[in-house]
Amino acid sequence: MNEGSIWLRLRGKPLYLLLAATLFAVALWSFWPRALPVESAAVAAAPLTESFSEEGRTRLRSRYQLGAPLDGTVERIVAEPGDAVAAGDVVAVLRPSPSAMLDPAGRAQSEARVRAAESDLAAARATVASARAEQSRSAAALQRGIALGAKGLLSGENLDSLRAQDAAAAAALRSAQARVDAAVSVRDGYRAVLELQGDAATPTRLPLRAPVAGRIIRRFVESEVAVRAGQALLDLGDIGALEVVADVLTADAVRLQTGTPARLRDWGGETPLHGRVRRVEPGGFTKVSALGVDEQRTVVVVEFDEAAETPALRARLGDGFRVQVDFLVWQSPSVLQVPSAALFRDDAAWAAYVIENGRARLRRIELGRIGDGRAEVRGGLREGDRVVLFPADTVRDGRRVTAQSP
Amino acid sequence: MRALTRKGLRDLWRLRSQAAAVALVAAVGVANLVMSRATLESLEASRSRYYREYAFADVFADLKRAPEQVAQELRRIAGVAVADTRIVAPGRARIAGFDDPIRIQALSAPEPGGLHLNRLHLRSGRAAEPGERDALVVSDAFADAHGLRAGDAMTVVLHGRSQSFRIVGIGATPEFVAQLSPQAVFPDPRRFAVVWLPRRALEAATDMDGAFNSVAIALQPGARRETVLAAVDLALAGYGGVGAIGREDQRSHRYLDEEFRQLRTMARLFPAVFLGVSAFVLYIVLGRLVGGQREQIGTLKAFGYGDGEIWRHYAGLALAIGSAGAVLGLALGMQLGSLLAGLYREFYRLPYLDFVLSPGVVWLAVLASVGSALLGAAVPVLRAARLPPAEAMRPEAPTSWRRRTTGARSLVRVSQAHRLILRNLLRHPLRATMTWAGLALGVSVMMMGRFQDDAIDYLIERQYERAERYDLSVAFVEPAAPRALDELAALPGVRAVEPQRAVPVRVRYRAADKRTVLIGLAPDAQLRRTLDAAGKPVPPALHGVLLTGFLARLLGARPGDTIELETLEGRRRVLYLPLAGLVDEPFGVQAYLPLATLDRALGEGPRRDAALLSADAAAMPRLIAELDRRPGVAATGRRRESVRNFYDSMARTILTFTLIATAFGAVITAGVVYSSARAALSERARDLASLRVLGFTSAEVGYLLLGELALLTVLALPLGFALGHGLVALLVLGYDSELMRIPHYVSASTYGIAGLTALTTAVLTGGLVWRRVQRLDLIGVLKARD
Repeated sequence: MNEGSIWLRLRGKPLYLLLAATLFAVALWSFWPRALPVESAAVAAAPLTESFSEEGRTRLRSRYQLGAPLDGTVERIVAEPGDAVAAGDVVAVLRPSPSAMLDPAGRAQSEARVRAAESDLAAARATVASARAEQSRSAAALQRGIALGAKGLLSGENLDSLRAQDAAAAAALRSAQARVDAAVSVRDGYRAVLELQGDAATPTRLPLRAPVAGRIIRRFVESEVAVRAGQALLDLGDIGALEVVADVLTADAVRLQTGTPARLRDWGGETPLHGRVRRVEPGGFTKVSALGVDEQRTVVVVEFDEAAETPALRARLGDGFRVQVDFLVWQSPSVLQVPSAALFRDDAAWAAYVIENGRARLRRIELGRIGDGRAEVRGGLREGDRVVLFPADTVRDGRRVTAQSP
Repeated sequence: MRALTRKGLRDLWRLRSQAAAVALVAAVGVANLVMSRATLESLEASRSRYYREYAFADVFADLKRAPEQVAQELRRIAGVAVADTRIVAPGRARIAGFDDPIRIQALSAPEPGGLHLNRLHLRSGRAAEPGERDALVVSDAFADAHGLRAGDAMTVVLHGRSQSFRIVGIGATPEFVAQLSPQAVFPDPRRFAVVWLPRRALEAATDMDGAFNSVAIALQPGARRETVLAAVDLALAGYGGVGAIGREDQRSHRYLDEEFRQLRTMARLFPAVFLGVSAFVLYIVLGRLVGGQREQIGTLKAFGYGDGEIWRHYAGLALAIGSAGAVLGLALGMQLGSLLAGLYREFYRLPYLDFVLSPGVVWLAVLASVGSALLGAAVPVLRAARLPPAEAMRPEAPTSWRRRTTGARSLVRVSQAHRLILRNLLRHPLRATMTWAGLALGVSVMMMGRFQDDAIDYLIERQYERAERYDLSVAFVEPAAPRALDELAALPGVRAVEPQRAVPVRVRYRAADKRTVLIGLAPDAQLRRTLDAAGKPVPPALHGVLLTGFLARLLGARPGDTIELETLEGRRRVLYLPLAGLVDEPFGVQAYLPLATLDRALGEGPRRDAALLSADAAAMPRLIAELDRRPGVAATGRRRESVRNFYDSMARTILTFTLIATAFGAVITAGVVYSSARAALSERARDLASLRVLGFTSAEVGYLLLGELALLTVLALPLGFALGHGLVALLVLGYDSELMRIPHYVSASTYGIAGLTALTTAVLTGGLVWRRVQRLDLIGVLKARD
């Protein structure tokens, strides 16, 4: 069967060649590595902002709360939230309630006490009179005694007792006078109390005035009801002077300082507003998070950026309105950045796949600041490089890829 | 022994290799039939027995919370035989030596005594005593995946409270034949467990003292399920009932049903193809055999044998081959069947999987094989029987040389060998076509076998690489305010947070309705996107709802039609929205709205049920620890790990299926090539030997035969690919369901493997025939033919 080489034998048998060629072609076509379609994006220089977000609310810069100074009944408050008031305007009227001593029994008791006090005073005065009489008598007796004693007609002992009596009488007089003073004070005291009691028939009206010009923000009591001393009646303030407060995690708060810009969004308006951190309060507190763990937070106050705002927008905000605050910790107008969707870890370093000549190449990257969905590139990528977004497990270094539009 | 019988046996012996080829093809078809039907019947029988012995409920209803007395109302509903209340709570677990988050479904174990449904089947250990506060029974798939045994410890976190438990038993209930978490698409035994706790312990953990939040109901025989469902809904409406479902909607049952449906489709399609091919191959072989035995038939008839006897003689040959195929197929099928059953046991936790081979299947197999053999033999045998003896004894007249068949005179340029080949093909167009078709079928069967592998790859890539791109998913215990998202964004390593909200909903259009879930997505969502059929992202529309394409087809709705969405939670608002677009996704059926629209429509303010996170891989352990520590987090899921786990668990199954199908396809191709080549050889032996005598080399002579075969094989490839697509389309149609849609996708490598296997098989088989060509009997040819 050896009629020459294989080629010679096959030369006249093109159908065999056809079979072999088909085999080869099918193998080639089916196992030729195909480019994997991937989503890609370009590395470019653009503005980048590093920020974090917290839920906050607006509040009046100066809030004045009007409370009832005394127990009493507040008359129906006709002023409504939103009304403008000037400083000194009467916004509510309080009728202080009669005190416990004002009932007739109490009054009679007070009057009786005054009378008793006056009786005590009269008694004390009478005591003074008698003490004075006693004192003059013992003084006179002492004089006589001294005279007799000089003549030797009285024993020393008797003279001593006369002296003692005189001294006692003087002391008694002083004590009686003191008691008179006390009785006078007591009587004056009870009289004063009696005087302070008003007449039940004519209650007084106490007007409550607005301490500053502004608007009424909240009204806590509307109808005529009894109120306790200290109960809040109205909130007043200048609605034009608002600021925003947020409870910020202490670990985030240390990244803020006075003047850090903030963006205020999700307040319901069409455009976000701008502000700056006015103060980071130094006292932290514990707050339970939305998912149930304790967190340390502190209050951060953000003031609106007057220069950047249109007052018309801000005028729609009230007190206690929800605002989502983005604290812009760091900003740069132009920095080379890459979408974070392209980044993954290669051992301990960051890496991404760059599309070069139709193949994906693994490149280690040095990152800088991390912004919203993008990160600053400090090394490893050049402007214009295209990186693979959300690389699948099948993307490997050297794998053929083709960028498709997302 | 009768002379005819002896002739038959001798013929069979002479044809042994061809007969073996045909029998093999028939065997392959029978094996496939037996394998799939036997597995199906075994699974169904085992499942029915399990359901019966462990009292699988007929109706399930979940609600928010109702006092125990309400159960009495349920028992009074007409048609209810048993109503079993229980407490169900999702939660998390931790075990030693495994860092990934584990989701669990905690159920209250039925108290001993009394009639209870969904009873526990214990594989080892015991049930927890009602008084035990720290004992639980864990699901067997999870226990097997982690090698847990009775006595091991497990920490369970329910409603934010963490407690350490001891495993006292390992088991399962009929409610969890397929053990997968309510949100998952496929089982992840390492990251999902079902635990059964004593009722009191669960009551304490979930603040459900004297109350229940789920009920299982068994119906009385003859009760109408729809009426009972409606009555249960009415009774539980005031307690936050989300709608009662029947057994066929229960998650595990549906999952298994889907599997059965796929098996049934396979059991119908594959054997039909295989047996069809074997019938066709037998037709070729017997046709040519009969053709080659014309003279003998004529002689026999001349000697007085009747038509019937001739008929029976050749039919007997076919029968013998068919029976051999049946026997072989049965044996092979049983082997493969028990292999398959073993694979299924890993996924479906049935306590016993008896491999049942019902007599029905055996009869069906035998009938199919023999029937296809007889079918293939029918025409040639009838033709043979009808030949008048005198005509039969004459040599067959050469086929007419009609002008039409050689229209192109230009072919005169072609070399002599090719002219011979071409003429032969054109003179027997039917035979050539059938050989061509047979080869194409072999290719298409191999494509069909590999299709499953391709489809799964495509599904995974579509859903878990292009539509979902998050690293972690976090589900909240209670719908949380948007503040929770800020909290997640501040966790270590988190790069992006996307919120999500999901509400159970009943979708209605005209008369059709379907219970599904309405998902609210952020408008610029990147971590989970909705894609259309072309793979382009279609963002949730501002003034309309997006539906999964399959759901829209199910409802009969087209874009622009108004869909009614009845929410089954909270204020139970009903929304009327136009269908704005279709989402093409492989798993489940969902409806999508923009998050803001959903918030506004439900009227409860912004509430978030879950968030998707993109996170730095280096910070993952710390991040997971932080999430674990938060009582407000119900469960976390890791996308990449789930996918990898899926591949790991499915790999063996897929490989087995693919190997079987490829082997079957190769057998078919080899069978067709071999029998065609041998038949052609025996027909043209004289002619070819004559050519050899005239001076042609055996290589040249062989070329005439095998070159024709090579041409047919090459031409069969395009037809095979087309037929393969057709078969795949049939499979896809059979597999489509609510739970999963398999895409009609064939990868380039599948074409390659099918084509290459076919070509290689053809070459090898041709090689076998080549040897016979070399041994042509040159001397015998020189003798005159009488």
